Amino acid sequence: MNQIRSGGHSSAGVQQGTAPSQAGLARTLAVTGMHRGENPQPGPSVLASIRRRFPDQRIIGLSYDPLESSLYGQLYDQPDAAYLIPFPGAGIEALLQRIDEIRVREDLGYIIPCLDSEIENYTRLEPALRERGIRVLMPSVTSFDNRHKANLYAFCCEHDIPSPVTRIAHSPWEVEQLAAEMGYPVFIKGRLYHAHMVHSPQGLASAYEDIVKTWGWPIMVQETLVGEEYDVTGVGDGEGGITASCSIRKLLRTSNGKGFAGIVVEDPALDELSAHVIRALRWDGPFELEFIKVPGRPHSLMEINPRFPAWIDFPSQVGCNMPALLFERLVGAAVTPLPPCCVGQMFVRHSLDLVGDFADFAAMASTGEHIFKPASRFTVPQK
Amino acid sequence: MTTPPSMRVPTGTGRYSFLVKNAMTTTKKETPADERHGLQRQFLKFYEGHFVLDARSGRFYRLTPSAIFLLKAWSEGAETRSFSRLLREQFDVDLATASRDVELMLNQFKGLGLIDTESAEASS
Repeated sequence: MNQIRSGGHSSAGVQQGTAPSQAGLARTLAVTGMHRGENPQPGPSVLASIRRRFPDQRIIGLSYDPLESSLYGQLYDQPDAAYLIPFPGAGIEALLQRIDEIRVREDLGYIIPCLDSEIENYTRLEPALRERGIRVLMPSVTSFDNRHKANLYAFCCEHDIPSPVTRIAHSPWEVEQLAAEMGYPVFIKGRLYHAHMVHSPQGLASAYEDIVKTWGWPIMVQETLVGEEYDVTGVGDGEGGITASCSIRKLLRTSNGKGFAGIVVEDPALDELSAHVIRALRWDGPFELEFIKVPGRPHSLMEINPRFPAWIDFPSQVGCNMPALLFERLVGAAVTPLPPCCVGQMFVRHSLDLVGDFADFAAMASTGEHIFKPASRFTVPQK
Repeated sequence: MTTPPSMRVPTGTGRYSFLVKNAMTTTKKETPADERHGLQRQFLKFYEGHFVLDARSGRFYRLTPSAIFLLKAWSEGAETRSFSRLLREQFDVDLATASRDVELMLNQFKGLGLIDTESAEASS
């Protein structure tokens, strides 16, 4: 499955007369999604993976809350500095303004967004960031829209990709009609997050009201599939191919469905389907495909996440370091071919208590930034 | 020579099963029999003498000695029609017991997708 392509992709170019890797490593990388709590975000995994390959790379965290767990303790996934940024709902102007403030202190060269809710903002900001010499590797607007939850079923039908029947509802009446047509149980899902399994008409109203009050209309009504869960993470090359990937079956899940353990699988049918999905999307950058395998049916595509998953550091630890590969693309370096993950390799997530001081929290909350390691060892290129 | 209890092939369809319940995601019930076709022998991986991992599905099972013996033989090229003979040679059971238990075992193997359905039927 791991189609390895050597050679980097460099859409923004590299400074003339300098070795790409040295110029790249002199500039700061920003990663978002820095919380490893009950619903772990990918940022710490991405940071740890990149640091494993590039231990001297300065990496800052862009956080939404001073209590994001990576900001505490002294582990390898702690950023060199952290800055608070506005929530995605504040819009791209507010985000760009904050990035400009951060640039006063950091020679920011690259950003890897890790949360679904912010990908659209960074996609729209990509031209403005490029003008500022900041690279982000984002999928095309078409690709991004096609994999959106509200559009995914139509996309799958068009490309003959198995997926659960999904209908869009714009009103309570529509929700009830669609749920009755599909038959219970059904899933009621928000546009970005939130899902409820509803077993009867009596439970329908509370389910969609709970979602609508946070995420608004429309919402989705989806048939329920029961089976084993499989996830495939990888990096698309933007031309329909996959540069590297890893496929797992979830072994353990939390009460809200998050994977807590997984084992590498090698299924030609799953590989072929994943390749077909990415080819149809012409996806560029990190992705996670979520499937459910109902006995007797092919794998059904449930979701396409436009970023690395929280478990991305697992394949990195066994040699398939996809965040590092992505970073190589960002800096314009030649991409290092990655070995495939071996069947039977597995991970189990572990939670730790990290020690902090309230002074750190207060500093972050007051100033919006916290510097763990000064940037003095890096040479800031003269502009 | 009597067969030691640990090696005896269970009879009938009582509580005793060839296969210990596989470790699955904790919030799901055990899924019904998988009807995958085309399962190749190379996708079975064996560990510690009593575990088998299906590399395609990621499901794994702890097997009794007789079950792991036959499944390993099949993965190494043995045909299912030879299972009865192999079982008798290895575990010193009579023909009737071996035949009955092979049939039960094959049903479970096929139901779990550990043995390719088409090749198993072609061999029987």
